[in-house]
Amino acid sequence: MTAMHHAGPRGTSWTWAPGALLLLLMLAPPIRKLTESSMIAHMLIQYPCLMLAGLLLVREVPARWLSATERWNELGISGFVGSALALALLMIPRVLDLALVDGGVEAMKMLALVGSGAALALSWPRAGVVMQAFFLGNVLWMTAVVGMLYQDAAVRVCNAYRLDDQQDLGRALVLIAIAIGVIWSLHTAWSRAQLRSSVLPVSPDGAIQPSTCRWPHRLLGGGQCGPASRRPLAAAAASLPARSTARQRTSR
Amino acid sequence: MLRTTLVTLVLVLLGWWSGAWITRDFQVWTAEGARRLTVVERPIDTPPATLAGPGVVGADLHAWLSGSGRTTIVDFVYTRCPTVCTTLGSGFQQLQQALAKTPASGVKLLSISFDPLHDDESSLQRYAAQWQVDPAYWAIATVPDTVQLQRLLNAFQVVVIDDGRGGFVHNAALLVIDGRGRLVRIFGDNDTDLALNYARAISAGPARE
Repeated sequence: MTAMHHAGPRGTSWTWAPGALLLLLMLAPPIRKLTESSMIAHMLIQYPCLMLAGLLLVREVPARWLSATERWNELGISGFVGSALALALLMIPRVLDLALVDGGVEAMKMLALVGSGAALALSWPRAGVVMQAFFLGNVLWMTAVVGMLYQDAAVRVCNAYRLDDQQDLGRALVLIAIAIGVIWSLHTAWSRAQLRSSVLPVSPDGAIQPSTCRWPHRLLGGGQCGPASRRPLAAAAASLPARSTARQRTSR
Repeated sequence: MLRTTLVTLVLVLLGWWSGAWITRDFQVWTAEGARRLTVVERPIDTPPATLAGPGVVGADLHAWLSGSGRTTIVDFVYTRCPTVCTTLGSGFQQLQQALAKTPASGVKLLSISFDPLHDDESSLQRYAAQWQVDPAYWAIATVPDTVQLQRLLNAFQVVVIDDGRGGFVHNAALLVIDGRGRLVRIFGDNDTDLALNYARAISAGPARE
């Protein structure tokens, strides 16, 4: 009972610390030097970490401030357009070279990445599946094309990085684009199946279907959720904790 | 929706403007492309640097390059280099043969080593012997002062990195320097004919403004 009093009020929580810490870490000169020492670390460690920092930080902004952005970012359109453009620009090889020698470019690059992470975090829940598909279609396609160009180029596209480094990055970019596309498709199909079965809770015989009889059926089998399949499905659903986290995310 | 459209339009314009700036109006995508384009528009003055090497000990680089009707094709090398410098070496060898046929053209060749720690006088001499360098057309040197050397590399945007196997990788190219000691054009290391024709043209014509 006394332990309850030690939990401070919500306003004094340190939930913003992970985002701030990640950002400060990525800005620290030794870590910056390390993450920019190879092309693959530059694009696949520093870029995502800065975006993640933006995402974590924007989640700590008070909701009443964020609601003011709603009218300027309906369906997440401006956020998606802005981040897609920023990511496209930051994949131009000259930017990687310039960021190493030009402090202004480096600062703008980091600002754009943190901003993109924040914009995506705000836009994603506001966007429907169509908008998300459009955004991912653009960005992932672009990533895969850049990846293929980096693999196939016979010359170095960055003066500061080696050819083998560039080819590794090319392969990794293609794999990542495919992986994100597959994961998003599966997750979307999954949550839509869940949504569809939850709006039809009553079966033809009038019985309310158990809540455990939802997602895998539509995704994998596609058939009706009948009494015969009830028990194994319940067992399967109970063993998968992922469902509840997926729900929490969509309700955020 | 009006506000969203407005923000989106502003972002698109900002993106377009940034893209145009990064790619020099969508002409170049790499730092090397930008380097070659920029030099055409704004020649780069050779910074002060003291040379050392067979036949050029103590010479000032800028003074060595300067002279009416004089044009120099410069490349950056390191003498241990097994790969790309072979291209540069044989390219310069071809250039030397071409120059020997027209001795009065005013075009010279200069190979500058960016590895003065290893490339002392004897290493440079060995390199000269390997490529049958004729000192009348082709000089081999280094800049022993590492501060001066770095300033020269920075000015010409020569980027030298570790190749992971004890050697170096660098953006090898043919740098054409006019009679006023300015870097005026950069050609790919295979474009020896283009570089030579250009060098001959500017060394024959009046000095460009």
